[in-house]
Amino acid sequence: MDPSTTDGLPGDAAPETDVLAHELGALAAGTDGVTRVQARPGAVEIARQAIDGIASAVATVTGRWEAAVAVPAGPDGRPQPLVTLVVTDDETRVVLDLAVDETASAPAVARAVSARLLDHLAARGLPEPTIDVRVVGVSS
Amino acid sequence: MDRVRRESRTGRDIPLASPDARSTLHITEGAVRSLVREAGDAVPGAVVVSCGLAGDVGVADAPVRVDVAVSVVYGADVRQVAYRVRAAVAAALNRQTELVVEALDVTVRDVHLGARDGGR
Repeated sequence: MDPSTTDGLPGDAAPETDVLAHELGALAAGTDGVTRVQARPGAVEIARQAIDGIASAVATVTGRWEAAVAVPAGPDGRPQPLVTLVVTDDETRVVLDLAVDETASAPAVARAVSARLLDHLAARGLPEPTIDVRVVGVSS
Repeated sequence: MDRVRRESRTGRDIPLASPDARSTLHITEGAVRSLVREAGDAVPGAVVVSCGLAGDVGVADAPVRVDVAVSVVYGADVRQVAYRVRAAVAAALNRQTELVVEALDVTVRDVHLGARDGGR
């Protein structure tokens, strides 16, 4: 079974966005102190609202790619990370939830994840990136 | 169980400072409550009965009051256990959140027999 799922993708953009979402999920999961990355419930809708607002709707968006992507567990058995990625002509938005190791500092880990993802997106030359990271658990 | 269910909910989003305006960072109220519970439960002789955050946790730097209710094992020094719970919870909150805690109150609500929680 394909480990990734994609919603509302217009043709050719889907595979590229899938790859990017996988990369972002792997980057987040590989950050020191992160024990789990998971999709936020309703994240695609949240990202859509954050980007579009209510009034602009689709009028200012000529292309849109959305992906909620699961990265398969690696050989070390780490859980599947998931991120939500929305790309429009004007903005690239990434939404994800994290669990953090109790020996780490949740605020520092969240900042580190955000910085890594922003760096990665900047290197891809995508429209203005924004990151929404939420720590949903601190575990041993 | 109702208290546990309530605490396990995601709850409000508590902001974390971000050096980059392009980032929005939060920790959930549910995560903080779990953190408080685990820190308190780790103290020998203590079992956290409930915990709550009072105040506008959704606003950065707003003062917050933390209330922790515990049960203490019969025969333990109640005051010492309460102090240790308070210290453990304060340390956990300091490490894992950016809450401005104006008060951290520990209330001993109950005393239990050691056998009930596996002989703690």
